[in-house]
Amino acid sequence: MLTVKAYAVVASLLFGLGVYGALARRHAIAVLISVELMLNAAALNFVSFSRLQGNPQAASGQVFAIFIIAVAAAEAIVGLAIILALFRAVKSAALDRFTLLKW
Amino acid sequence: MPPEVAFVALALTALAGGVVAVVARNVFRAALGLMLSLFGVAGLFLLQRAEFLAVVQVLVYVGGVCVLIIFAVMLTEREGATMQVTVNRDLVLPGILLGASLALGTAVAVIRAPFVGSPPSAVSARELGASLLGRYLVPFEAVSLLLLVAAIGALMIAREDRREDRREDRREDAREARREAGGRAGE
Repeated sequence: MLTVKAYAVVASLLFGLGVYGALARRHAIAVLISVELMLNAAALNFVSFSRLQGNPQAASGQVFAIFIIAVAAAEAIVGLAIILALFRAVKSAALDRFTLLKW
Repeated sequence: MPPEVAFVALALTALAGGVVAVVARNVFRAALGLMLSLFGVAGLFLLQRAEFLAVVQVLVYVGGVCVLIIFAVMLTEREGATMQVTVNRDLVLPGILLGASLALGTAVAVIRAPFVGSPPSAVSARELGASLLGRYLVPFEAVSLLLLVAAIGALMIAREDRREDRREDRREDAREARREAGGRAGE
């Protein structure tokens, strides 16, 4: 019963949650949290599908998951720095207040 | 514990954490929900015999990214007002529709697809390290460069502009002094 499919279903549900959060939330940090959820679902998919490949290639999926984690960390660092800088300028973290480039 | 029971428990943990992260009105609680979800996914990695990845997930994600997010929540909090998350009303229904259709569509497609699973084989940390420093050496170095650049860039972006700050401070001091002088004159 416990096949790749079960993991893939969990990952797709997590991804769907992340899509909803990234679209509908108004707080910049909440959107960033949703993006992290989506990235994590992708990493879970990489790991579970790599198991179909047998052992020499199974390491590849995990290497990709490690890359995802590293890139997600870089994205979180830069994203949070931008949110901090914007918060200083606008005094708010709501996304629809970030209209500095609008004239 | 049979693996099925562990799987159901971990999957429910991950999904419940995800729901909290996406629905909670308080950003801090959303960050804690993300933490729970990441722990659940780390458990799912462990269940798939990806031990090294599970440990990396807990170290980097739960220990690094989540703490960073919580720091950001605390730094952007002003009188509790910005802790509250409201939703963009125009996008709630499209968000639900898009998220649900994506999730259900991929879930149905995956369930109906004929996958041939092989028994879970553990990938040792030794194998993982060999492929990181062998076959994937160039991407590995690129990612380390990316992390370095991102860290330096984040420092540059988040740094307060000292000059402007000082000028504002001086203005504030002058205003304070004037107010004090005025108060004394009034007395």
